[in-house]
Amino acid sequence: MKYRWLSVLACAAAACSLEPRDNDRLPIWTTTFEIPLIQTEIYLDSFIRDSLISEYPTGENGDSIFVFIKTLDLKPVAVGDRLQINSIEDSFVQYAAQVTVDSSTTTFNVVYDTVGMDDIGESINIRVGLISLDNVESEQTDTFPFSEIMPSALVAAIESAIALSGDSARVVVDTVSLVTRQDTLAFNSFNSVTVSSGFLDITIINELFIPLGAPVIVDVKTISGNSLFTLTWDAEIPVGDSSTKSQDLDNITLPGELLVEVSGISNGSGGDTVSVKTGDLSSSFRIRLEARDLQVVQADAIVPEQTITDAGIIELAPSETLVEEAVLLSGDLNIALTNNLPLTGIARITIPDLFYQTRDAVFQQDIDLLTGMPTITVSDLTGWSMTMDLAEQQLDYNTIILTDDTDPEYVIVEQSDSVQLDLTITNISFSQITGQIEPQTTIDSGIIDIKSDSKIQTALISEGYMTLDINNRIGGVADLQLAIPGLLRAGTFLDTVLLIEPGFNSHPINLSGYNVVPVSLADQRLTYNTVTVTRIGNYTYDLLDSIEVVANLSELTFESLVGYISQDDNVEEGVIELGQETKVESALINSGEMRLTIQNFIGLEADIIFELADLTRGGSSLIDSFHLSSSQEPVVARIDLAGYTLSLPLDDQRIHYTSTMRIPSGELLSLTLEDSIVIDVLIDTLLFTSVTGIIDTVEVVLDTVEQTISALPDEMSGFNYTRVEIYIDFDSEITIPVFLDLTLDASNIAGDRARSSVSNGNILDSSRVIIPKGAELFNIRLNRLLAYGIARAGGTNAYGTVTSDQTISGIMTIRAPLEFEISPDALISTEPELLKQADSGATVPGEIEEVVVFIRYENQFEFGSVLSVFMSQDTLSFDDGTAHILVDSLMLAPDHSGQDSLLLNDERLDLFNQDSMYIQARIHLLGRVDEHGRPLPTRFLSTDSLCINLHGRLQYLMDGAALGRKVK
Amino acid sequence: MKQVLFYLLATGILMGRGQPSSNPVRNVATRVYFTRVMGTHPLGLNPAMLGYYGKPVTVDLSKGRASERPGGDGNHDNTGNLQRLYAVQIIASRDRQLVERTRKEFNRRFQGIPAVIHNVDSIYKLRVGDTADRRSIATLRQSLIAAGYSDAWIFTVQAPLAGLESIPRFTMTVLGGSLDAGNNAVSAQWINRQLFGGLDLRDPGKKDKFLSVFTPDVWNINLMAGMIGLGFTAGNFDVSIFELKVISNMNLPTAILDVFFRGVKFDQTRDLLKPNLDLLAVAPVSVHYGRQIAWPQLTRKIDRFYAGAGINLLLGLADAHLEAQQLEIATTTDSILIKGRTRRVTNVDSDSRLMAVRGAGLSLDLGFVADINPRLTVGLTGKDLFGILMWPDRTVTKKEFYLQLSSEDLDDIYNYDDSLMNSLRQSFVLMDTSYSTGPDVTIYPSRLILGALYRLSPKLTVDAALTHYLRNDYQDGAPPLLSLGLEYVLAPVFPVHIGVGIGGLDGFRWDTAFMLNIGSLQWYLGYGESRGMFNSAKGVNFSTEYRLLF
Repeated sequence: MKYRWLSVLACAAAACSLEPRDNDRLPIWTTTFEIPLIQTEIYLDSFIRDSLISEYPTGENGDSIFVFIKTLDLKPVAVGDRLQINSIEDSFVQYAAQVTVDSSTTTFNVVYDTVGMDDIGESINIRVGLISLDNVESEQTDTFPFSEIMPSALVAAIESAIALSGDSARVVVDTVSLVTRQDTLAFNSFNSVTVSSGFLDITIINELFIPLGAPVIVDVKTISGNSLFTLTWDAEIPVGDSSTKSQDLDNITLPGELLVEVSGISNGSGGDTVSVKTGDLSSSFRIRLEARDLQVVQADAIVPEQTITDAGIIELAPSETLVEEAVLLSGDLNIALTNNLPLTGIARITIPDLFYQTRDAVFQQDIDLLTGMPTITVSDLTGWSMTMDLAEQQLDYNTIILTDDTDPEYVIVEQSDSVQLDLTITNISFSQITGQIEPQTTIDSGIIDIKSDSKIQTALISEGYMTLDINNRIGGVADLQLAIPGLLRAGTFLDTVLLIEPGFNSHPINLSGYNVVPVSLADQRLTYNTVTVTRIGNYTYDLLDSIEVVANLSELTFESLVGYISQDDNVEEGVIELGQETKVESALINSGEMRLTIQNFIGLEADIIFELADLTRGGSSLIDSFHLSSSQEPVVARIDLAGYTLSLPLDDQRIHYTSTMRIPSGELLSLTLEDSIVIDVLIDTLLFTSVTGIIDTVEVVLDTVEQTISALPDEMSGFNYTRVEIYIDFDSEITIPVFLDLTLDASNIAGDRARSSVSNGNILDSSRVIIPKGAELFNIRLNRLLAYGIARAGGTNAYGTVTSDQTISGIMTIRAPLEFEISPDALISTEPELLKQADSGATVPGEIEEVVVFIRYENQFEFGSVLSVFMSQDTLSFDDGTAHILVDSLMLAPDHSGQDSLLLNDERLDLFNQDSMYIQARIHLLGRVDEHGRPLPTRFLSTDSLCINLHGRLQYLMDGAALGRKVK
Repeated sequence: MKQVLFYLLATGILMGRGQPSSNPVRNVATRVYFTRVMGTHPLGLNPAMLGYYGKPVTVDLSKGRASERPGGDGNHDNTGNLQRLYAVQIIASRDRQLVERTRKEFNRRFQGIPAVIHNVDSIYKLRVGDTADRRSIATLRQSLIAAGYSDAWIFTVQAPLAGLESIPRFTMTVLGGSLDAGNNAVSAQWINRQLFGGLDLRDPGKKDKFLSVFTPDVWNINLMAGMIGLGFTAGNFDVSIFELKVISNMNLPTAILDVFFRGVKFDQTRDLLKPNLDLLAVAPVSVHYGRQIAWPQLTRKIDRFYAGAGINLLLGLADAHLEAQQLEIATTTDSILIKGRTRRVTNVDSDSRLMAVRGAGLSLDLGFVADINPRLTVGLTGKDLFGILMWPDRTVTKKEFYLQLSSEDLDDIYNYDDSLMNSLRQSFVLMDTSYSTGPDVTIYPSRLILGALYRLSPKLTVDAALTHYLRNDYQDGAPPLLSLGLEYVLAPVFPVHIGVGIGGLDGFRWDTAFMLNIGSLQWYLGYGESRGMFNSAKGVNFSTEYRLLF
């Protein structure tokens, strides 16, 4: 009993032995909570308060940048009156006369004679040769009965035996000789044939009640009993069987009717007893004959369809013309066919070398074959082509004769029977030929007109050409000899030979130095003669075409002439170059004159009429006239230009003049055409009231401007502007370009200076003139800005109108986008700030072991920063480097999204639990750099922001014992 | 040791789980002497056991009537429609000690065969065997004669020899209590070594090991407690006047512990997996009645057949169902997100008394027991069948909230006063609805038990049971529980029992118990564990009862 109690209690005690609760033994652990902290977005405008700084769009994705803007006024300045053109001098020569011959064209054609060949022909006898016969249908003899071919005693004995026995008897048929028997046999397909080759098959069909033979002998004979051949069967032919043997019929004349004789031995029943009835005595055998593969030299037979072929050539007559291929202009093909056969049918003549247009369409003619009479056909070969080898001038042909089947008629035909064929081609001429033609010579002559208002007796050509454009459409190569008697040089007339190739040929002939001698003063023409001779060679000729010759006579000029000069007034047109920088389109002349000095060297009196069309007054151009004596003394004439308006195209600054000289006509003159009148022109200095056009430079001095400017706040030390825009917006009444030469002089209190200049800034193309190196001016921290310079109105290619009362004014704008180069050592340090009062009592719970602050940022700014935060109870520690580091180099990369973290461990968290703690932030700014680390401009864009998301990982110490005590 | 027992009891109350214990009185009222707190005894809950008292009720299906008649005799005889039992009397003497010695000798030589001494007119008669088979008993007589019991002769008995000897007719339960508590994660060993092990979980791997016990998604904590104040049996009747039963089932997402020990990390949404709590408190009042049924058609197949039934009046004290249909917490780098949807159904409010009858219901107990032969007994029990509870009124409270605090909000919250904070809190509540459901019904837990008992010897019994829990509104669904037990009765004063079970709500459980019979006082004490053994167990079962036997 006692043990039972103990066992139960032990079991209960061991079952679940929970130990006493001891809070001090509760576990200790850390729990990590990841929680969001702060998310904010920071814009720069919350830090920028300067009224001179505003936003300005950048044009990039709607961004705008902060810009420092300052404007200054430039007072109006007058242009002044400096419009003029300096003196202009020019001279020209006016010749006495100008005689020419206009260009003309003369055309003629060269054609060749007809090219042909002599008639050609060929006669052929076509033989029929061996005659093929169809296989002859089988013919067989009458039956040879048992009772007839066996000895009668044997037959009688068998009959007796049958009679004795009743219906049938069993007998042994003895061996006996067959009774010789004959029978006739006729073939229906021929009466007689002389066989060149062929066979006759003979078959014995045994229908006896006993075997037949052996041997069995068949002798084939003529009706008259002459043996043709004999065949022997050496083996028995069993009952109901047949046996065939063939006979070669070469050189045998086989009649249509034969005599077949049978003889031989019968072995009877071979010793066996056979049952014989009366009917068996009537059993028989037959012989069948069948002729095949018959080729005969002569036949009296039904002749089946025969095919006779033949081929040959037709040679061309010898000629200088050799044909490789030619198209016939004319030609007749005559075919005469004479049938000497006892047969009818059709003959087909084919000439492969003769075709129509294409090679496939060769010549082929079918002609009916009539018995005993000739057939003649004529074919027109116009348009047909023939082709052959140059070395073998012949045409191939072939003939096929197809005879009709004579069935049921018997005809007698021999292998020597023939058909006569005669081929001839007559009247042969070609329209086109490839090959060689016989030589051709063509002679021609004609007239070339001289087109001139003057009548030329003789004239020496100074310049001119005759060009012969020859289009050889016939083909082949030829020589053209040209002779023109009216063109003389050194006593001989023009005579030249020109080579003509197939196709287009051009032959220019230089006429300089030739004297033109027309037929007469009344007949102003030149004659010519041509001879065209073909060259031997293998070419393609289009004989129906021609060679076209076009003689182009160019305009002729002369050095001297004798004749009647018929022409209008001698007019000389020329120009006077202005040669000025100012390009005048329209200018009103305030003062000035033109002076003409004229000298006459032609030795004749003449009148001069001088006109300046570009100078007008009241709508009329300037015109003046002078009379010249035959003297060579100079004559001076003056023309006042005041009040005239000069109008010229801008691209042609020349004053056009017309000088007309009048001399006498109607006399036979002998002139050297280089005699002339010399005229000198002087236009004195022209002063203009106004000028429209491309005006030369007009200088305007700008008033000096001085301005005090504070470019950068002091807090922005270390920032260097990378882009400062200084520009002047001009307001000008002048429509021509104004060029600016401007200097900006910047200085600061420390005496540093910087200067920037603009040269040739055109304010017409753009009313805004940009001053360079603005950043250099600003980056000295300027306090004073001085601007001075000149403006030059006009210049090359500047179009407009200038008047003296026009002025220039402007506004200078200084525009400095907050775009800096940030150096690597750029630093912003805040003033130390008291973070916590000594008596505040605020502490960081000790259970917080560690805080990791994650900073995820999207820094759209183009600058970044490295943030360090220091804490110390003594502000001097910030300078001597002994301050505690709270945040060590937290980096926010420029224009970058990233994440960084800040570890606040026990040591750092304890800093917040100390008394009177100061804090200072130091920010190292990070600007953009290129791949080499060099600074790049960093912009302060108003649309950029810094998005910061702070989230933390808080590691909290959970002390179970402490928790237990709190719960308790 | 007192401390150990105290913590055993306290821990069991706090962390244990179990099922409604059986009423020990009912077990005592049967031929089984004590209660199996694990439910491993197949017959302990069966009201049919009350049929061991009284005369059998004869049911003749062929005649369609039933009648009460005394048992008959015969060769496995059902003559007169009576079920008769046969035994062999091997000695009859006025010398009790002689007869006792003879029985001891018989028990030593023939283990497993019941042997009972009947005192009839001061003559002690030792009768052995206990069967309805006339031929079997004749064979036994011949064997006994051959063994030296020359006077052995057959006689007829009306009741099993072993039962009639010691079943009290009247019992009264003075006080009893049971507790079945457990969880699916924490064991005593974990509490000793981990929770109170003085661990520094900051060391590598220790936190993982510490939390590794909470591997399932939810931490399930179940509690079943029962108490009986007054009950008694009288013959075929069993009445329980004052009982109290508490059923609690709670699921806590283990993610809560993970958040508590590991914290919260960004972008890792912590789904707290729908925590819920179901709680029921009832006070049943029960009446059961059982009889032996004499069934002539079964006479040749079984020795005896019993049937019983009972009704339980369920007085509902408390009913509560809490669940969070959705509960998530998450943090991101820029916000904190908490969202959830809760539903609470209860009939208890904070203003009313805790102990008050707020509902009522009924359940039925049905039972059948068959003694197949003297060694084998089988039974089928339906406990709390068709049990429902009707609640006149319950209140449903639904809440849905969505809390999202961005970094900007967090920055501003530091400057909020109380009114702003209240306004902020209200802005997060999407829905807060309470309404009364009116009369409502819940399903009370019930079981079906199929069991068998085999007597290996007069001292050793093996029992087995298959228990199936039916669907109800207070417990999670569970597979059937298969349990096996051994009962060892070296002496009637101190029988002990040990059993194991697999399946059911706990997967594995074991128990042991003993009973102390001193005169009319009987004390029962049982203890068991589930989901492990000893310190690795995750649940404990405890039951005790004091009874008086008459």
